[in-house]
Amino acid sequence: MTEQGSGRSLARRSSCWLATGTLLLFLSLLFAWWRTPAFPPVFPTPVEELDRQIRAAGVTHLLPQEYAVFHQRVSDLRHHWRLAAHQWWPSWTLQEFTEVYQELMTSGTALLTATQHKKTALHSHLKNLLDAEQAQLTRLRNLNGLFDLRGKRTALSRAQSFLTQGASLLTQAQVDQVPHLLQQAQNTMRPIETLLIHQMGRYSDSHNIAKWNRWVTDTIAPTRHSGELVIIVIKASQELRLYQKGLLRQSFSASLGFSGLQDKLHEGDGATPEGIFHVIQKKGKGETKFYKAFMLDFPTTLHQRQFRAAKAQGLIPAHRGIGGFIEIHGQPLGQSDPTNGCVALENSIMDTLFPLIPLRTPVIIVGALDPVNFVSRALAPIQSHHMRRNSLPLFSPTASSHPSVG
Amino acid sequence: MNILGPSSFVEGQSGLSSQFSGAVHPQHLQEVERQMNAVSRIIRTGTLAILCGSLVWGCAEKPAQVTDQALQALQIAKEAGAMEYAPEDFRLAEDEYQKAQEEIATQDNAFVLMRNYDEAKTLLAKVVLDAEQAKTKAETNKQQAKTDAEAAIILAKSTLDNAKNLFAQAPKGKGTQADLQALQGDLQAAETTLAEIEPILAKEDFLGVKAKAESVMELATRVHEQVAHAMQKAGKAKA
Repeated sequence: MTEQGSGRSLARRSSCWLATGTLLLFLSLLFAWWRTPAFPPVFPTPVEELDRQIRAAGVTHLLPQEYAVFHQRVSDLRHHWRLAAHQWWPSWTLQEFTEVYQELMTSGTALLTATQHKKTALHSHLKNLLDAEQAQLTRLRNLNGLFDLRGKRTALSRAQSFLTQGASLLTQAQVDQVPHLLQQAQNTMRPIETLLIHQMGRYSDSHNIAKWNRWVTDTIAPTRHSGELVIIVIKASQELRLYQKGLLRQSFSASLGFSGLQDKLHEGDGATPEGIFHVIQKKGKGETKFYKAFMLDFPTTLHQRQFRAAKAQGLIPAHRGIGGFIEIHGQPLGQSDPTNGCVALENSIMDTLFPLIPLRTPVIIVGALDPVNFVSRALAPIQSHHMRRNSLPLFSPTASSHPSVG
Repeated sequence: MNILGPSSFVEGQSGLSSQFSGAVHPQHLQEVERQMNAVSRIIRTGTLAILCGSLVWGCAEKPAQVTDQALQALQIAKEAGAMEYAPEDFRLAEDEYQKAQEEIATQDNAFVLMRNYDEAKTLLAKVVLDAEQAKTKAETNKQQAKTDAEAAIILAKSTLDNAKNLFAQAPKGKGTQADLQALQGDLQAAETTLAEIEPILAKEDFLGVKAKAESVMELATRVHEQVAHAMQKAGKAKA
C-alpha cells in the first residue's frame, strides 16, 4: 500500500511539473506573441505616392531599368506586408519591414531626384540644340542679299517653322516630338549650308586672296609715277577705294548686287563680277536712271571664256546669257539697297568722283585682300556648327550624359 | 442544449440504475439504443454541415467579373486619352489594379480554406471608380486642349491673311527684291505648315496643332512687321 502510495505521488508530482512547464511555455509564447509589434493594417501609402511621383517625372523613358528594379521592390514589400499582416507568426519582423521600407523611401527619393535631373538635363540639351540651330539659321538668313539664296528661302522659312514648333512643344514639356522637328530643321538647312560654305570658302582661300592681291598690286604699280587713278572695289567689306600714285586717297561705303558676294556666273544672278575692268562710259545726270554712272567693260574676254566653260559644264541654265551693263552708279542718301550686280555709291560720292574719274580708269573688283575678312569671319561659325552637328548624336533619352552644344 | 430533452435523460438515468439493480427492461434498452442512434445521427449531420460550410466559405471564388469590369474601365479611360490628359489619375487607377492583382495572387497561393478575395474586390471596385474619374478628367482636359488648338488655328489663319494682304502692298523695287523673296519664302512656309495642321487635328494631337499654329503665327508676324517697316521706310523716303 505504501509503495503504491509513493508511486502514485511521484506520478502526480511529475504530471504537476509537466503541466506547470507546459503552462509556462504557453504563457511565454503568448507573451512573446503579445509583445510582437503588429504590422500596419494598411500598407504605407508614402512609398506608393513616391512611386507615382517618379513615374510622373518620366522615369519610364529616362531611367527605365532603375525604375523597374524600384517598382519590383515596392511590389515585393507589399507582398511581404500582405503575408505578414495575415499570419499569426509573420516570417518578417516589423523591424525588417521598416528597414526595407525606409531603404525604399531613400532609394526612391534618390531615383526621383535622378529622374528630375535627367529630365532637366534632357530639356536643357534639347533647348541648347534648338538654340544652336536657331543661331545657325539666323546666320544663314543674314546672308540673304549677299549670296544667292533664291529657291532656298522657303526652305529656310520651313526650317524656322520646325524650330518654332520644337520650341513650342518643349515649353509644353512635350519632348518626344522635339528631336524629330530638330532633325527636320537640320535636314532642311544642311544642303544650304554646304552650298554656302563652298561659296564663302573663296574668301578664306589663300590662292584666291593671293590672286586678288596680285590684281591690285599689278594694276597700282604702273600708276605710282603716272598719277593715274585706280578704283578698287572690295566686296567682303562692301567698300570702294580710290588710289592715286599707289596710295589710298579715299574710301567709300558701297552697295553690291543682291548676291553680290558671289562671283558672277550669268545674267540675273545678282552677283557682282570680279576682275580687272575699265570705265568705258561716263553717264551724267539724265543719261542714267541712277543719277550718275560709270559703265564698265564687263564682260571681258576672260569672263566670256569662263562663261562658256561653265555653260559647257552645265553650271548655267541653257537659256541664260552672260549679262552686262555693270556700272558704278549713284543711289539716294540713306538707301543702301542691293543692286542687280552693279556697285552703288551715294549720289554725293558720285558727285565727288564724277569729275575725277576719266574714261579708261582701271576698276578692280575683288572678293577680299585680307584672309581675315567679313565673309571668312561669317563662315567660321557656320562651318564649325555644320561640322560639329554632323559628328554629334541628335538625341538619346536614356544616355547617361548629353553632349554640350556650343 | 440538451438534445434529448431533460425528461428523457432523467428517464435514461433511471433506466440504467434499474439495470444495475438487476431489473432490466428490454423495452427500456431499445429506447436507450434508439436515443443513442439519434444522438449519433445528429452529431454526424452537424459535422458534415460544418465541413460543407467550411468548404463553401473557404473555397471563395476569384473576382473574375470585377476584374473584367476594372480592365474595361481602364481601357475606356485609356481610349478617352487619360494617359495624356489625366496622367496622374490614370496612374492611380493602374496602381490600384496592380495591387488588386497582387492580392489575388496572394490569395491564390493561400490554403484553400483560408482564401479571401474581399480585399481584391474592394481594390478592383476602386479601380473602376478611379478609372472613371480619370476618363471624365481626360475628356474635360482634352476638350480644353481642342478649344485652345482651334482658337490657335483661327488666330494663325487671320494673322497669315493679314500678312498676305500687307505683303501685296509692299514697296517693290530692285533694292527690295531679296527681302521680298525672303518674305515670300516665309509666307509659303507658313501656308505649308498651315496645310499640315488638318491631318494632325484629325489625329487629335492638339498640342502638335498648337505648336504648328504658333509657328505659322511667328512667320506671318515676321512678314507683317518687315513689310510694315519697309512701307514706313518707303513713306519716309517719298516724303
